[in-house]
Amino acid sequence: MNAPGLTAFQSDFAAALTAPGAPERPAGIAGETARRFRIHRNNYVRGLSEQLAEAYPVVRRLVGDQFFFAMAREFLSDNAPQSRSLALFGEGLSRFLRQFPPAASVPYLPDIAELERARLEALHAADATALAPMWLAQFADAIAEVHFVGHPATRILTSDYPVLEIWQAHQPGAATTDRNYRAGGQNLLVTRPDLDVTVSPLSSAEAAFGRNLLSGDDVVTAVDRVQGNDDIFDLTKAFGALLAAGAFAEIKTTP
Amino acid sequence: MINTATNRIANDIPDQAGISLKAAHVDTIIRQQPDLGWVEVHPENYMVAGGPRHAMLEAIRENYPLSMHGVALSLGGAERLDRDHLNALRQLVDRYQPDLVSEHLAWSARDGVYFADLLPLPLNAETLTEFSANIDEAQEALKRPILIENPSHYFPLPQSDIPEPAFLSEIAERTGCSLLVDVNNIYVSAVNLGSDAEAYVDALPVDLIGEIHLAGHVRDQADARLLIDNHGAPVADDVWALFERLIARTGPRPTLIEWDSDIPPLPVLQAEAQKAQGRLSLLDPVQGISQ
Repeated sequence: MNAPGLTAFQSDFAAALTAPGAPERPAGIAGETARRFRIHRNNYVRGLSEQLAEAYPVVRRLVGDQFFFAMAREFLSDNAPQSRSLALFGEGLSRFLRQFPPAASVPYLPDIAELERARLEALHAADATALAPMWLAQFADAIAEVHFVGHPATRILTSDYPVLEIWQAHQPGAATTDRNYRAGGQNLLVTRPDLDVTVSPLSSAEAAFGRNLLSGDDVVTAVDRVQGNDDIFDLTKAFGALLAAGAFAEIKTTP
Repeated sequence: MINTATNRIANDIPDQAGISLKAAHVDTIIRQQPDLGWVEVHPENYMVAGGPRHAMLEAIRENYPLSMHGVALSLGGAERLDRDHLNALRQLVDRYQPDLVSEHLAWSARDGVYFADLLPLPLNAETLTEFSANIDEAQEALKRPILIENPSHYFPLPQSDIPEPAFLSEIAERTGCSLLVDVNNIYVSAVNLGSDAEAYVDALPVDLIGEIHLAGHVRDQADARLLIDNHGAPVADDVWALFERLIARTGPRPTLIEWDSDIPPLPVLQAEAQKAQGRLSLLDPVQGISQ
């Protein structure tokens, strides 16, 4: 494209749109109606903040609207959308929150954001049939050397907090009095075997084994790497938990 | 030119009222299959790999004529069209075979940042060339003509010296696209810019109009002479009057009720569509169709 006038106009307009504070209007927009430029600034900031709120409803409930929308404005200044679809807008909020001092008083907030992000990614991931436990039988003797392909929706999270209980307690309609979360951390497998996202708790060893398999290890290597962690590892139970959770889409005999 | 004036408005969307498809209503629509005429979606909402959004749109597509109304192609941008976005749009068009595909006389991205808004474009000889080239590229990628919608304006732009109806006529002539006339946007812009909405409607090339949009607006609390196109209210009386003036010229055309904020229950949207349908039904069906 070779449009010098249009290029200059749009560069000025875009800069004014995203600039924090001044300038309040782009060059060339003058007269008494120029302050109406705020409508486009508002559409940009408010529209995307609301998109972020849709993606992170529990984070929003945990901190309240005033905090959330002020935080969203900060997030947006370094995380302007690159994609023209906003369905997956908001990647990186968890990372942002870990380095956002005003959020430090809610230490589990970044992990809740991570769970909400995993749920959103799982929701929109490619469709696939989850591998049923019966397929394992086919490989009875050769099981040590097979590889597993993760379901496109599968993500495994580890938190120092009981994030699933916190998330459940902040769903619409949840009882608001029961906030005595059990102590300790949690491993969660998020996936979407059909149209609904599922979240399944795993033990630390199961989570580690699942991660190893999802990273491409064959079964023997995946077990070795888990056992290096001193855990008492029950392979059958771990397979059972991962397959029941719908972690995988395929078995392969080669990497 | 990729099509003729006669062919470009031939499609399977009936010359009836339809509604924009909102997530809150989808389950009810799939379950009850109400008579809606046709539905319109923003394709950007379906640019995901899989999951419930596609499952729902598949179910809707089986029962209703479908229009895809894009908001993010940034046809008015001084940059090249975003290849990834155009490819994603082409894939959706291939998959769902919508009866109409439309976009805006606007831009919405710059230097890789998407602003999630329809931003105004000065209308002059330079932008006429740029905008037409971008429509050509989009229509070639999508292998079909598209419709272009007039946006809302809040303030006058510098270096803008072609009236919008003339600009729209000219791009339709140059590219073979047709027009989606948003009557609420005409009204909102006329109030905000102090121009004449009726003269705008009378200047539109009627035989190039393939679709009409109706929506609500709100008066700004701080600036009483400012209307904001928020798609969050019933269609205003003045906009209905302008719609009647337009369809008296065009004859019946597919007419959409848009509602994007403070979304009401489905029956409210259907009642609004019925009001549009009542006005369309009063018209002689052959009136206004170009020969």
